[in-house]
Amino acid sequence: MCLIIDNISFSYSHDRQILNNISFSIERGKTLGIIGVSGTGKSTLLKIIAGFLDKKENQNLIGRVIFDNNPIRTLKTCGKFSFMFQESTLMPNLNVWENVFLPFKILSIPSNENINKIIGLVGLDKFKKSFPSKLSGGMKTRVALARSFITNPELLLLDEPFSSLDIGWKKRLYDELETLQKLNNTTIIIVSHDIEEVLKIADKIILIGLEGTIIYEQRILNSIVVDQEVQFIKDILINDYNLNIQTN
Amino acid sequence: MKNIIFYFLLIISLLLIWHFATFDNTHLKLLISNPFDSFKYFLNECDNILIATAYTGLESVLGFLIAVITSFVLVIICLYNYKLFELILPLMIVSQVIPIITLAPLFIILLDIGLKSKVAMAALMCFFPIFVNMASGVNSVEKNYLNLFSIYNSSKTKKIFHLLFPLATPYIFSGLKISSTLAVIGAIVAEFNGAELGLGKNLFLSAKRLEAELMINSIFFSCILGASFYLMIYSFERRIGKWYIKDQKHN
Repeated sequence: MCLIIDNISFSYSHDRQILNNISFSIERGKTLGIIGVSGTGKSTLLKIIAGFLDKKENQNLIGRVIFDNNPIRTLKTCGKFSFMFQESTLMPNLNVWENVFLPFKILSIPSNENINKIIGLVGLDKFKKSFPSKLSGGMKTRVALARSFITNPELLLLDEPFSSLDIGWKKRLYDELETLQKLNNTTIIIVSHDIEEVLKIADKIILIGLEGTIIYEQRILNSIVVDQEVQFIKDILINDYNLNIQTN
Repeated sequence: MKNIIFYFLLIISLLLIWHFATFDNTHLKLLISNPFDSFKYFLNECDNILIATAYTGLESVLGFLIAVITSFVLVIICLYNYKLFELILPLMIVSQVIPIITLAPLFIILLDIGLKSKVAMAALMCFFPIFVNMASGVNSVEKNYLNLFSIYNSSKTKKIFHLLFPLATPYIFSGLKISSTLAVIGAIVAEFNGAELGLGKNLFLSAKRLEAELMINSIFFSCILGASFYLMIYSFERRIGKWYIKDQKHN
């Protein structure tokens, strides 16, 4: 196993338990999809894996995260870890090119032609010198994706990466994700509330319930299974959580 | 363009009111002079007035720079040791209870009547707004940006200089703009208490000798000094802060 999440439990002090004994694993070069309704702790889990919520006051965090038998910190040191935030989190004082270059700047790596190439891939050639305030939501998402791909990470975490993209761009970026994965044997974890989207690209899915536990876990083997899975998961969400979800 | 015409007409109107108010009123003319006499005085005493302005300007600029450098260094030290912020900020706020201008005679005793005491006064007047705005700016950076830098295991130094200070730019310039005029005020107030040269000294003497023309000219050039200083900071901000200034305009 490549990435192992071992008994993660998390809560803020004097608040409800957000995550309860979460354990799962994913092999190297595979994609894991984490799905669930709002408030189930999906983004929190991703932040714990990324090390953003390590041991702070007013927080209770237990459990561990291991990648290739090492802590995530090891990957960060050599620039082989990447994360895409739900809110894109582009630096407002940097233009598109500078935002994509940012990881190299922090890691003290000189720029290379890959930056222009990846900006072209996300269709923002003409906006290289534009600041984030001049970009639409979808464009900002594409810049954030470009920034997360640029270092050819071994572990890539994506928090709602495609929510503000149109269908055309989603398809293109699914393909880019696949190319990246094949090229670098990248392990990807994607968090989304869009069940169909996750099932299209994931090799394995976990569904987190409102109690912060894994209520369903499944490997995705082929596209036929995907349709069955979509219906099954929607049934869980409708029946167990009284959610109004449209079924096809 | 409309704004420029409006301000121009406003200035002309005020000058006309001033002129006609003092035209037939000798008593009032003695106290506040009139536009033509004040201008004639400037032409006769041009050198003295401009030298006094330059001297006060030098005190203001030096005081301002000392305040900026001290604030900058202190904020960096606090960012490396965050608990210092929690210690220093309350002290800063409490220190504002002391009317700073009352310290001017103390500075003269400690640093003599020359440039140093005026520079110290100007620096003290500027320091609080610059420091507080700088501290607010760096502390207001959203957590996600700190997390962004931690993805690549960024050092604290890189976080401070490539993240915190750049994103705090709007706050920093707010503090600088406020302090630009405070620096001039601090220098002038310090000169009231004793100076070899300067606009503050001229204002003090003009009040003692009832030299209204000198007073008007000193007030006018104090305004010019403060406005010039502010405009310099403003122009610099427009070059550095393109990424947020246009947004402010639209909002």
